[in-house]
Amino acid sequence: MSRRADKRPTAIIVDDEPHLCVLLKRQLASCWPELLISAEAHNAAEALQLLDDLQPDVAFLDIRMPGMSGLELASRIGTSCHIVFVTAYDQYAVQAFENAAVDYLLKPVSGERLSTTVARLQAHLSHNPPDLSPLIAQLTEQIRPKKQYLQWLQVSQHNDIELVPVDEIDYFQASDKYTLVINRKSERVIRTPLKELEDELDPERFWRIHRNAIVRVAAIARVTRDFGGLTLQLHHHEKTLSVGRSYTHLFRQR
Amino acid sequence: MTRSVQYPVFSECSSRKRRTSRPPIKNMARDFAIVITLMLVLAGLLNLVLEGGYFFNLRYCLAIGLSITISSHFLMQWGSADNLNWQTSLAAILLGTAIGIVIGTVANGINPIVMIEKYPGLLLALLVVSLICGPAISYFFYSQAAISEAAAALRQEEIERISYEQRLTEANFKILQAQIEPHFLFNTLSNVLSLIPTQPDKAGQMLSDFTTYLRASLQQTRCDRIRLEDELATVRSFLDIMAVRMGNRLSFHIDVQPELLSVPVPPLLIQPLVENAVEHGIDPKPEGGSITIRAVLSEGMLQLEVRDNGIGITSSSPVGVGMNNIRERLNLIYNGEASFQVLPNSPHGATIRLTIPMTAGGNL
Repeated sequence: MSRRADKRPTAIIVDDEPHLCVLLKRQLASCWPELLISAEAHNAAEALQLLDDLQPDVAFLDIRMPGMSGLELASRIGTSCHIVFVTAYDQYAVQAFENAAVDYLLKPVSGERLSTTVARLQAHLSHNPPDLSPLIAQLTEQIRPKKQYLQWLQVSQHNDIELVPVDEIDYFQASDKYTLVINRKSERVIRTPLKELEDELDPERFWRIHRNAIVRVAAIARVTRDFGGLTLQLHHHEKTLSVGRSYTHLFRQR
Repeated sequence: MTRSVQYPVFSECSSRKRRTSRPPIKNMARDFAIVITLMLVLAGLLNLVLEGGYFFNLRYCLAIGLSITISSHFLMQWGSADNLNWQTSLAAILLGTAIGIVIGTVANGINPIVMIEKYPGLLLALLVVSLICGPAISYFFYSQAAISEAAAALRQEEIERISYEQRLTEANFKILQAQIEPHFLFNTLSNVLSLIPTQPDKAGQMLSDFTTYLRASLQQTRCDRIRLEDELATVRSFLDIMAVRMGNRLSFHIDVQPELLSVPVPPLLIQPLVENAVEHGIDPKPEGGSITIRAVLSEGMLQLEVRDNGIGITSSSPVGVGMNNIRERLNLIYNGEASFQVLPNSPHGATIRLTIPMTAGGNL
């Protein structure tokens, strides 16, 4: 299929930094004067709308953008236009583009490199755009954050609400309807029940050690065995915690 | 921070008075060997003053000596946390002596029940010898334990000092490493390139801000303290650069009382927080936002605040490396006297509040 062979080729530039859109536009004007830059977009949402309206032949996509990234945007575009990724520094992505012969530019874009890219685009423009979805799926899989564990606790003290990183907490202890949140400096109260915390906290970093307690693993100084079972001595704490019978397996030597 | 979970095999180690880190069986075998040796000698000495012959005395000595040792171990293992106090030792000696005399008597072929009537002199002699030698031996073991404990404490102190220095060095090294972020570097240079033909003055200003920023990042990490003014200059150059790059999406305001400008602060304390606020707070918001940096004197402490009206922090937002680094450094430098607070703003955004002592004090 020949895409509008009679008309001038068109392109859209997507970058959240306005001056960088201007720079690329200027560079393209000098090395590919026939190319018509039909629009600039500063975020992916804007870009999707413009792509739909203008149906350009080429899209230059910055990878790092607020909201939707250039990679996500590319997967939405699919094969409706030729894509050139633009990035300041994304080691893994660049390696992958290199391997898969995908067009990309590094910022600041050099004139020489841009000429090579333009020559390739001109040669491919009469063909259908390649399907990048397997590559993008693979890349987004790599950078996708794993399960989102609880990182911040919202605790209120007097009238102030404070956000405390969970790694600052040494242990949680159930107390009636509340949960005590304890570290070496303070003891505060939250309403979240222990069971809910246990589900939300990273099980690598926090262990449920008793019906009424969850402890941060790195806060444990020593485990001692005595009549009643296991007792934990924590760093910077006088008080010790006892390990419930059904949780002793956590401390078996591996 | 690395995790260290130890799994001691025995329960003897109370936090205050630990004996040695050796397991009890091995300890007991060593103590037995010492006691047996001492008893072989003691029996020889007693042979000079008591009747009955060397082996008769040796049987008594071994029986009493070993049962004192066993009862000491028993009471220490199952006793209270303060298991090395004199009451426990005395109880162990009395209990051990009583059991030892009975066993020794049987071993020597005498019926223990008739002993009191038949050999009151022997019984008295055994009691006297036991109550003199028992405490002496007990004291010997006690001081041995005390010596090894003191050595262990000294070692522990040394380990703590070294690990403190190591952690501070590591924390300082990390800020150095984290400093020049490639995205920041290349995007800034691209912006300068873009501005050169059309707005050369603005390009020049941006390059000059970038130089200030780079120089500060390279120099300040080598100092323990810098003037607040200098830290703010770095912050301002960073924000000026970002304001150009982000167009009209970023505005900022620095509000510091003039008399605080010369206060010494650890370097790169505010700047990473500002970078964080831009990157994770304001940049992800399509319409952008503003940042306010404040420094005030509050109850003799210096309070530094970085406030933004960006997207704010949700319960699963990652805790930035920069934030953890600052928290760690504050802890190490000010021995827990400084505080680091993260407060949500209404209606959105976050405020980071650092409260640090005004003195240059703390650990340098």
